[in-house]
Amino acid sequence: MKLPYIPINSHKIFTTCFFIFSAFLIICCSGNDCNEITVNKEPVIIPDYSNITVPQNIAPINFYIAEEGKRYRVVIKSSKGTQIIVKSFDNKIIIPIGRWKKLIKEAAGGELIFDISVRKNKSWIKYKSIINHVAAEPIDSYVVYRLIHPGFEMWSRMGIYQRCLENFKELPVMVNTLSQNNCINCHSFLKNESHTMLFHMRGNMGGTVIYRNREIKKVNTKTDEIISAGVYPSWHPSGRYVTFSVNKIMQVFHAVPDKRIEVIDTLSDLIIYDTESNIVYQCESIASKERFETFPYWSPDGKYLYFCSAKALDKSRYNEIRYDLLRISFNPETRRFGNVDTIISSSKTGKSISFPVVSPDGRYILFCMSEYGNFTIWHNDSDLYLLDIENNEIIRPAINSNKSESYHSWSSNGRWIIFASRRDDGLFTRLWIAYFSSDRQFGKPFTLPQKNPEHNESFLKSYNRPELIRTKLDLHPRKLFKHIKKDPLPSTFSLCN
Amino acid sequence: MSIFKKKENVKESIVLTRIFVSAVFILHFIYFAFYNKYHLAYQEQIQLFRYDCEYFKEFLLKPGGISEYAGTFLMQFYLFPTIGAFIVTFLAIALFFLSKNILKKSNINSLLWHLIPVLFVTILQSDYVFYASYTIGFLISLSFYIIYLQLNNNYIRIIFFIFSIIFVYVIAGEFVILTITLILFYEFFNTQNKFMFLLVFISVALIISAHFILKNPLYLLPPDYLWLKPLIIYGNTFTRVSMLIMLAYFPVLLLLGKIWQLMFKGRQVQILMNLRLFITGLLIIISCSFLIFFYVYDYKTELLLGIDNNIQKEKWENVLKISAKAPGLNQLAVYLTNIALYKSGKLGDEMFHYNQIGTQGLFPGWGGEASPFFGNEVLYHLGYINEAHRWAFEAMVSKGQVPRLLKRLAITSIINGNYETARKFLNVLKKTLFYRKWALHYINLISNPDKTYEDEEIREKRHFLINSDFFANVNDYEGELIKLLENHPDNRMAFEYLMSSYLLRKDLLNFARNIYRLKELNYKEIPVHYEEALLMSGLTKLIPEGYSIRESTLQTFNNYIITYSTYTGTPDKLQEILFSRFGKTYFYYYQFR
Repeated sequence: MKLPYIPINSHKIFTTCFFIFSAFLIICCSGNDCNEITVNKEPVIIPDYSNITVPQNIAPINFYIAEEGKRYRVVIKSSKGTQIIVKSFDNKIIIPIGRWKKLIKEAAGGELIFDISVRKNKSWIKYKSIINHVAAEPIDSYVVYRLIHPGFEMWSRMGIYQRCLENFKELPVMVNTLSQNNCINCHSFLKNESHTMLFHMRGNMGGTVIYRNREIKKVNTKTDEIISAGVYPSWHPSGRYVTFSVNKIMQVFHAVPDKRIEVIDTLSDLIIYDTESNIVYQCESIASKERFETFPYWSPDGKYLYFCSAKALDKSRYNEIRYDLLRISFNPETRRFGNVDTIISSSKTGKSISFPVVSPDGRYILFCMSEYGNFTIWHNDSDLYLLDIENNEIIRPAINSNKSESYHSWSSNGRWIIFASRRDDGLFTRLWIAYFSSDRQFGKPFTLPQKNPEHNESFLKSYNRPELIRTKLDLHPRKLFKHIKKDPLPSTFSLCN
Repeated sequence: MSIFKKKENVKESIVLTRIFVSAVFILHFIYFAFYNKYHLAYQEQIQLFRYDCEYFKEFLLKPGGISEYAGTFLMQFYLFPTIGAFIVTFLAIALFFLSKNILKKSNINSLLWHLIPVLFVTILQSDYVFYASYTIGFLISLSFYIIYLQLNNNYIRIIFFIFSIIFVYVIAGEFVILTITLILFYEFFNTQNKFMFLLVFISVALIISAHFILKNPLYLLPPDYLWLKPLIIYGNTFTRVSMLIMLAYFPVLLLLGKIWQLMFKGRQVQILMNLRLFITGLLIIISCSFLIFFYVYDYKTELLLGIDNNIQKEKWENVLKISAKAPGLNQLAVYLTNIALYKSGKLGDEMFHYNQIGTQGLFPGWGGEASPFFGNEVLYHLGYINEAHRWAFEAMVSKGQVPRLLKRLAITSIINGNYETARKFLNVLKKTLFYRKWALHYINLISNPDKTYEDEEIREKRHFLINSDFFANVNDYEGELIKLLENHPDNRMAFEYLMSSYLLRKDLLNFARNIYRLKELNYKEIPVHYEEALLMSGLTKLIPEGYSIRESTLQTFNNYIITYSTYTGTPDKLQEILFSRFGKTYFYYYQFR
């Protein structure tokens, strides 16, 4: 068949008309004014990144829009006018990281507005803007956590990982595929610094791995005189001593639907480990037979050791064991402890305290409180509380949920906290970040941003024991592997003076 | 011989060869489709292929991850064992053609040598620990060798050699050793390549450097896993030996081929297939089939996996049929059979028709990785949901995310009202081909929790949810059954398991003390074995009102006593006679087991 002849002028006219029409269509259908219906409600976005305060160095807060539609458009703009437009045919909003970094830096101290539109039935539905705040204070660049199945007794693969909070890069620090699938736990840093840290390995290749002064050593903190090897650690600010709890722990499993596990200490003391002399010290004031002492945490000046302590009861009375928050003075020169003060008494609160963590300025203590016991991760009623040491006021911040809130860490500038919570589903812990203002107010917490916003929805591991650190940790599994293969250095025991 | 005649012979030979090879692979297919169907079905149950990037990325964390990924992809189709048999046969056919190609290039033209790798892969595949990914590893390794043989230019060969070492290591893992060995053998025996030494040097250097370079950023695995994975395959002796033979087969054959050629000055052995050879070959294959069938084929495991498969499908009668074929296979079989006996309403009447091994036949106990995998089954049916969930979770931790465990975790979470936890497991299943529909059904259900009550299974299990708390004790199942009954006296399975436990432990006093529950549970009549136990105990006065012992049971009991009295003087004969006449009664179990 012969094609009809089109004169050159007609062709030009046709082409011009085509482009004008296309441009019209594009402008009309992607613009703000054509068939746009404004609704006065915020769209549902998952994770919930609405009305939150984020640090100026956080990775893009990718999310998906839980509203039905054929196309999605998000305009993210700072009050200074710079904006990013993200369009999507599915509901996933993946924000380009380079432009996000620029935008969020510009918005520091101000607002970040998310205008979300969804194309539905040939019109764009424009939802009420989501307004988030960008704090001027940055968060520490890295968080170190353990990824583990929230199992009961068994484990297979687990590892300690560091995640850069400024992007989505996650690197392994230690994985147990290299260490005969043993248990790795309780990583701990000296004052948010990556150059001094430790973690434990249990079972095969067991021992406590200490990274200090750019040296790695593996030690065995168990001696005949103490209950167990070191468990929950806290670095003394001098970087020389570490206080550990030593515990005899048992697990029991509930039969009723709303409870799962009870983790009970049947014995529990505190010890001081000297990283230079490899000596384990035990002092009567923190290792009483009549009491369970656990969860040590040093004040930033190193003059006080905070810890939890409860009357030693038989395991059958597990739901009557309630821990107080105590404090004992310490002289690092003489290694002598002073008097013990009760900071919060469980007899007054009627609740049990665990995981006290002192803020970097030493003014606040963030801790968990639940009905009984100490292993609060399995207690739905476990919430975070803040103690203002200056006036002894206890605040229950509005960052809690009806599920377990547990392990938490302060940023080095004291403006951010990161904590583990089971609020999503009651089983898999996820990391949540909240801003802490100078007037003692917490911002609405938001979950750790992920490259794939649906990541958490089918990820069957828990983020465990988040610790914020300022810089990247210079440790890698292979680097550690050389040292963990060796037998641990045995410790010697001494009583405190 | 005239050219015409020769051509005719060649033509006939080709036809006969094709028939012969087809017969071999038809046999291969039949073997897997009919005799190993439960092996294949079980392999499907210990993997879960998911269609998402994060799942794929997991495979990049180990050498050979890609072939494992491909293997897992194929294994998802084993859900339908006939398709599984097709896949296994297809892989064997691919192996046949590759080995034919390789061996022909070394002037080894006999069909038998081409088929030997198929024979060994058949032996390997007979063990359920041998996955499709291993065969794929072999295929990739051999394919690269064949590609290498096609290259004529020395420089290109060296570049390809370097590339293939890295590439094959990444996609097929340790099977790269086979590729390297074959290439080096080829170069050594067949060419006067001046780069030979360079090649040797490069390969050794690459292996060493790959070990140090790749292990750091990519593979955080112990050295033995990095290089010796095919050799540390678990499984029976046949499997391990066959794996070694498979790895050594081609290099050794190429070596022997070369020696043959040197001895006979390059003379090729081209044997045309004729009817005599065809029949001889067929006899060899039949003999091999018999050897495989009698020495390699794991009939007992196939039965056990058949029982497990039918338990999953809740085909209780099928379980009992299979179990009857192999009485007392092992603890696991007895345990699963007892579940099927209860579910088909026959536990109290027929449990001693099957082999019993004591209370461990009711509960598998906590020990080893397999126990929570299978052990959660009975806990679930008992309505002990928290424990079923815990055991399933522990099994998932040790065995990975596999269909049955994720389904169990989802269902138990829904029963307990933990909908968001259930959603996590369902979201994983949603990403699969064959469990997506199931997952979407329950996702839809939990979106409207009221709807969950419309599901019969959930409703039934919820009825038995525990109200009065206690702690699990894996060392005291009777205690747990009593607590289940205290929570729900109408928990019929808990009652029957408790009574069975007493019977198996021969604790007739506690058995009789609990017989009153028959009335509470609305039994129409006393189960036969209970009658037998009551007669043995002499505690018939504890029989609740409205129930009586059947005449037939009384008659059997009388006959038992008479027979017992008759043969008391000849103890050897006594047990034999009693077993033949009363082996399916509790009387016999009580006295002789």
